[in-house]
Amino acid sequence: MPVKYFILTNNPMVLEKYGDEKDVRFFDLDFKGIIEKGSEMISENYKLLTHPLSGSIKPMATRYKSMLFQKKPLDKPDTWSVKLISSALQSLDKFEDQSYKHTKQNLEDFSLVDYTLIASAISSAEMR
Amino acid sequence: MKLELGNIYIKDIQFTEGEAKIDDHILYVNKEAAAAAALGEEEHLASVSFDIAKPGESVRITPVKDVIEPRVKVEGRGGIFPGVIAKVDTVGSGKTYCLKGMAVVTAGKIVGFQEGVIDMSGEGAKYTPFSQTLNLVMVCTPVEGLKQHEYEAAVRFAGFRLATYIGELARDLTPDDTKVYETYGIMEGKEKFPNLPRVAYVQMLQSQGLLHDTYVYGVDAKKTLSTIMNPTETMDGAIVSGNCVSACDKNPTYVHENNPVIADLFEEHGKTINFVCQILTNENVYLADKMRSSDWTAKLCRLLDLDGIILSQEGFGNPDTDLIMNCKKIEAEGVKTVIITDEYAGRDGKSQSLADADVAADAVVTGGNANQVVILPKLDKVIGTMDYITKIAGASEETLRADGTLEVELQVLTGATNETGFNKLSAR
Amino acid sequence: MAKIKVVHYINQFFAQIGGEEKAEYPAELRVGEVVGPGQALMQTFGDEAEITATIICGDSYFNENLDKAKAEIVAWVKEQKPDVFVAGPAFNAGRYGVACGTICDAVQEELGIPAVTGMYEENPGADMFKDKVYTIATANSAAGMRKAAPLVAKLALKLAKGEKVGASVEEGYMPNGVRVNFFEEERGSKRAVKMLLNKLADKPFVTEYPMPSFDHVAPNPAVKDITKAKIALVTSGGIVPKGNPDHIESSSASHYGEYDIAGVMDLTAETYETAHGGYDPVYANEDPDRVLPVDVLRDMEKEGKIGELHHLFYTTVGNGTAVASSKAFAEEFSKKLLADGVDAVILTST
Repeated sequence: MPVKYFILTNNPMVLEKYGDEKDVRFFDLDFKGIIEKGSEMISENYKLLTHPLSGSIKPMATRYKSMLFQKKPLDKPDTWSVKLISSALQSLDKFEDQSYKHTKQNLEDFSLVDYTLIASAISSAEMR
Repeated sequence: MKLELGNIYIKDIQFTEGEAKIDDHILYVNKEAAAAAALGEEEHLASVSFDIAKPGESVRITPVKDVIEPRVKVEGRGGIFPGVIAKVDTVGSGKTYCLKGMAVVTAGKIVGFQEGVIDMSGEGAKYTPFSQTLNLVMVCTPVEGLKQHEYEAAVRFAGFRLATYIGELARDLTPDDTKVYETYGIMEGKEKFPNLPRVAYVQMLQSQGLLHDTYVYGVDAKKTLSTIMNPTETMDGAIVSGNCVSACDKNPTYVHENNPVIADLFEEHGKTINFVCQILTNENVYLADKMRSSDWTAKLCRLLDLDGIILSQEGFGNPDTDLIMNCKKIEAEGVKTVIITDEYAGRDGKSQSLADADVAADAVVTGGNANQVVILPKLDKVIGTMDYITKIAGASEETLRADGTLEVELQVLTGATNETGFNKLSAR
Repeated sequence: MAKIKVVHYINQFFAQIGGEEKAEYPAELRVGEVVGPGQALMQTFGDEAEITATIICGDSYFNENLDKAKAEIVAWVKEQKPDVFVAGPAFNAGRYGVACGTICDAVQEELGIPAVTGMYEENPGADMFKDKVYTIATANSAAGMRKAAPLVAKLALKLAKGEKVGASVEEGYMPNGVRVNFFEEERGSKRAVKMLLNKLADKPFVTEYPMPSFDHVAPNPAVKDITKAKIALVTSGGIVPKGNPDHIESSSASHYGEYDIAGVMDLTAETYETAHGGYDPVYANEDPDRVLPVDVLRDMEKEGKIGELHHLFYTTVGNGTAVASSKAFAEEFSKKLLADGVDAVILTST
């Protein structure tokens, strides 16, 4: 069955492309910030539907990360979601902060890559 | 399925104004003809230019997109790169010739942070396997305002067209040596090798989205269910790369064509094992897809009554989850696993190497720590452009040093920590 | 070029002073002497290095006078100014291994002099120090000296010269949590095929990347009604009746104690003490309730906050005690706890 979801993102392109039709929860945070936001969601019992380390652009090298969450929260935190986000938070430390790489052109590129990654997840979620 | 590979060892590449040919193991390339072949009817590329990089030269190629070995099918069904260049038809049987000791390398900025570096000499040359090949480099320039994914596709196809065209030049040659690879049907294999352990190669393919895709007979691996293939099919280019994941652990098409796990399993085939087949699976972003794919892979292992498998992955982070899921589930079916991965243990080597772990993964081969810092010498010539060198994943603001050397992580070197066990690099 | 200077630390046994009965031998500095296994090291050192002093110390003396012994020895090493410090190898001798690791760590930390030791992988000193001090993996007895000594000596030379240390498998030291790249003879796929063939034949193989072990103990469900529960106290903090009647060791404990506190409302300096050699005992000896909170639990009993405090407590010393031993102790006494109807345990450690 197609899953009801919302998109957690800090990527303006995702907000632009999906904002009108879908439930997009946008926060203007950096990479670490949006992962931490994801962690907050999980502690509020929302279940992750995608992998937070998707795309082989290493954490901290890119600014953008979008995540899909199941719309309806569970009655307690989802174990797998907790594990995935903890692992993501842990890996933030081993990658150097590369926000200097976020020139306008690069940000557009990162934005696009993140958008296509989440688009592929959305098509799975909607069973298209 | 039985395939005879004939190897032709190329000793040199030279440009010529005359006819393109291979003569006495020297490849003569006519730039105009090669450009026409590479571009075909492509509208998205304004131009391509060529250069040659030889082992030992003071040359750096960057940004590198793909590396491809030219091959040609001389006998049997189909053609090289089925579903991509050749028409869709089952490949992996008959006879195929390979131009060894050389490669086609595509270069050009698509999204600058993903492409890699190949150094033909110096410290970096120790780590990239493509410092050992004679490289015919094609730098691709997009038309104005071209979108990244269209540019990626254009460069991808241009590379395959060029490799196919070069491979064609070998059609009427006689190979220097040949080797026959044969796998059998399920019943046939059981009869032939009743007492040998049944082994398969489970290959995880990068499949996450733009610049993170792999194609099987032209089909985007993202949309596939785990499936079975004859290992000889990859020798005819059945799997090609569309991805620019970290240069160090993406599988360029060259690695798919020359998959070392397949080669080394064939060495034991009929002696210590029955090499039954190859199993393909993907590395999607959507978690339920991961469940489905890994369940499916374990199911296939059980269905094929396998005793053991070798499992390789492509990438880091997200794929680590698939790697562990596949390993656990396959072990749970009573099938023994050995996994091949690389590591991101941080520049000091102290961080946890994989993003996931499980006690079931007790037999691991590693391609090394991709975060290891190396100093690359200043080289005389750059094919491509150095504009993006500090942007490539694994480089940093400190990369360009005052004396012209580069301080980078192994991450930037194409193929350095390959996760199909292509290289000798390891870590403890 | 001047020879590299090495100071070597060994115990009373390897100095041929005596066995267990001589373990109280106080620390001794012998300048200009090469003693016992130092000879074996010198063979590898050749012309490059020499042992300029040997320090001998009884294992009991070291472990029971930790601060004093460390201070003495570090001061001697400081005076001798070696380029590298070598301890052991200790093979499977537990307290010797802990002593080697401890003193190497202290020399590195306080003097900035590189150090090397060697021992068997199950030696408690290994787990404690292998991440801080290069520890060559040796056999489990001195019969392994011939293989171990050259490895220890070679690594010592590298450290003294400031040369890059290779991967654990290249140099022979126990993986210390730092991944180091190196080139194998064969490519990865070949190594994978060989590993699989061994695994299929049930032959031994060595993984190139040991998975981090998460020792998962699934928690039991919460106690339904704590006011009715029988609670027992268990500690690895070494609290024992005054005089330590069962001689629980101050480190590498070989057994645990079971003591009756029926009628005991409070532990005092007169009646109880700590046997633990791994922390400053002053506050625990002043009031042992600080480690084993009998007084608080008695209060809770009176107030009806818990059902009752079990009349037996179990204690051992966690300092350098092998994981396997700890597991074995617990397996044994938890059976008794269950048989005695205990509902929950408060486990204190230090």
